[in-house]
Amino acid sequence: MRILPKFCIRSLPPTSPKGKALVIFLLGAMLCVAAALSLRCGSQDYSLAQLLDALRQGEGAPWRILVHVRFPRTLAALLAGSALALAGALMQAVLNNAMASPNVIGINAGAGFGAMLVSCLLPAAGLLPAASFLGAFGAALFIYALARRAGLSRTTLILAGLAVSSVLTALVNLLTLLYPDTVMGATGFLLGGFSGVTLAVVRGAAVYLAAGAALCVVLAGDLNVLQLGEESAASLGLHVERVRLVSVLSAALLAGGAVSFSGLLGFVGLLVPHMARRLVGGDNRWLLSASALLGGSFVLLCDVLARVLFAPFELPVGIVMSLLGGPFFLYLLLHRRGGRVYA
Amino acid sequence: MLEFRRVAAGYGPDPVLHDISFAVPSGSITTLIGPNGCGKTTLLRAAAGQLPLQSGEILLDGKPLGSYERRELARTAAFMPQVRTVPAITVGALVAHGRFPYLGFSRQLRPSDKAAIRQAMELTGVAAWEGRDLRALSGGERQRVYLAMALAQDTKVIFLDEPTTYLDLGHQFQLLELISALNRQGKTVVMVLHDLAHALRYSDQILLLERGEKVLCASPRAVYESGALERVFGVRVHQASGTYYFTPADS
Repeated sequence: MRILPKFCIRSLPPTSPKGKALVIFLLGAMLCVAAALSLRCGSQDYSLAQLLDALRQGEGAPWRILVHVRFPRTLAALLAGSALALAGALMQAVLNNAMASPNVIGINAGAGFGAMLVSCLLPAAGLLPAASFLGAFGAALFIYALARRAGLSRTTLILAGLAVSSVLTALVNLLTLLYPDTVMGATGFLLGGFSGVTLAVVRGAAVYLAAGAALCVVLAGDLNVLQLGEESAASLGLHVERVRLVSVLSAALLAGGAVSFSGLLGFVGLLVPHMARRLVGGDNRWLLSASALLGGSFVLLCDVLARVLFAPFELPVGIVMSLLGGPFFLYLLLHRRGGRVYA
Repeated sequence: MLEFRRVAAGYGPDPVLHDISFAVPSGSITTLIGPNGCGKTTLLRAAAGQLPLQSGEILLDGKPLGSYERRELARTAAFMPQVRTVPAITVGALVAHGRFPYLGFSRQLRPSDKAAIRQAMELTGVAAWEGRDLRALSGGERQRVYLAMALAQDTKVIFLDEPTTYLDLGHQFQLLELISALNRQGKTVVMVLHDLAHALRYSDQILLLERGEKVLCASPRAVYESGALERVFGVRVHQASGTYYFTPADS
């Protein structure tokens, strides 16, 4: 079974910077198409011409839907997908572990717990992203400290992450039972989704996402050196500990920001960096860009499907994502190739 | 070039190394030998600034090791650890990482960096593999690529922890000849070797360690004649036609 024609598979990831730039360009184009689809499709479809008309008129039902529903939703899906994919790529690089994505090792759950706690105890929308970030950072630091202190093997680290994740998820569940009427629709939050997302909520998280993304730009080159192993990296003059801590901080900013408005979207952080690695290789400067673009597209497309498949009823996007992403991830695992050049 | 002054170092409360003092002359090859667990790797890591000292002092190029800034240290001494990860990376990209201590904030390679990378690859004979995946190379080839990375670092001193491990005899000699060629061009080499015959053959100076303490530090000839090898390793050392070989102590 092949998804791409053979010559495509053989030339991926491209070895030349030009080839990689082309892949990045195509991913960018895909993101634009996905965003356009997300603006057009839903319980009511609009053609691009209708959308432009609506924008020109600046009033009427299509305009209101576009501005108050579709646009915030599109933006939210795009940003959440990009941020979670970036956070996944960062954690995979820092922990040198292909399984270390924010949803597996408890960062998302930490963010969810923080957000839920605040929305139950101090329901003020402005605090949500901060609480979510703090929860994510706390969980990330805890896992990281565990890995440092106990020198955990890769498998043990993942198991520890799962344990942390399940404790935090249990706490989130407990809170939803104790406070059934919080601002966050409980099931929507647990599964992850973008229905009812507003521009104000996304704006509140934007600072965190921007800060996290900016750190990624600074970190990419250093993460490449870290790939050589801790000792080699240190002997090249890299401040290993600082790079790791800043990466964890960046991942927490990204995952915390995203979870504060999208809920516990799993999987994108695990799946997308793997797909991106296939497309552009292991050089983090390319890998992080590709993950961000691909993550945005993936979540946007899943959200479109979630709205369209059983319209006018809507599925939580997390379900669509797992239904689509799971089998694709299996495909990637089964079609691993050993001798490919990843740099 | 490198001087240990009463150094104690280790990982826990009990130091692995006790009261080690010796000096490495500039432009020499110094080899650390000793039985398993005697602290060779610990000593090398301490010399490379990878392990904090518990007491004593290490001078590198006349300056205390602790006073070096990270990148400055990486421009003075390169370190090739024994356990090397094999990342998914091309040979060229790996060697290019050797220039990391010279890069600015943007981490862009300048023409001088590219020249140093090219030169390091040519010296070690890995230039032809530039675009190849590191993981597709054999152990001996990989070792040379890592050596190329250390050379690209353009340092006065290079620390090598068992560079010949896992290599067959032919490749061991190839690598050691390469190292001694680099040494003749002025590089100071400090390395750990398991193979006593190699150590005696390729070194200017040998530091023999036993249970974290210095037994002696002398020329290969003097080490051979001291009889310390027999005692420390429990073997008999023979010399024949300019080389050394070993037999069990009780044969």
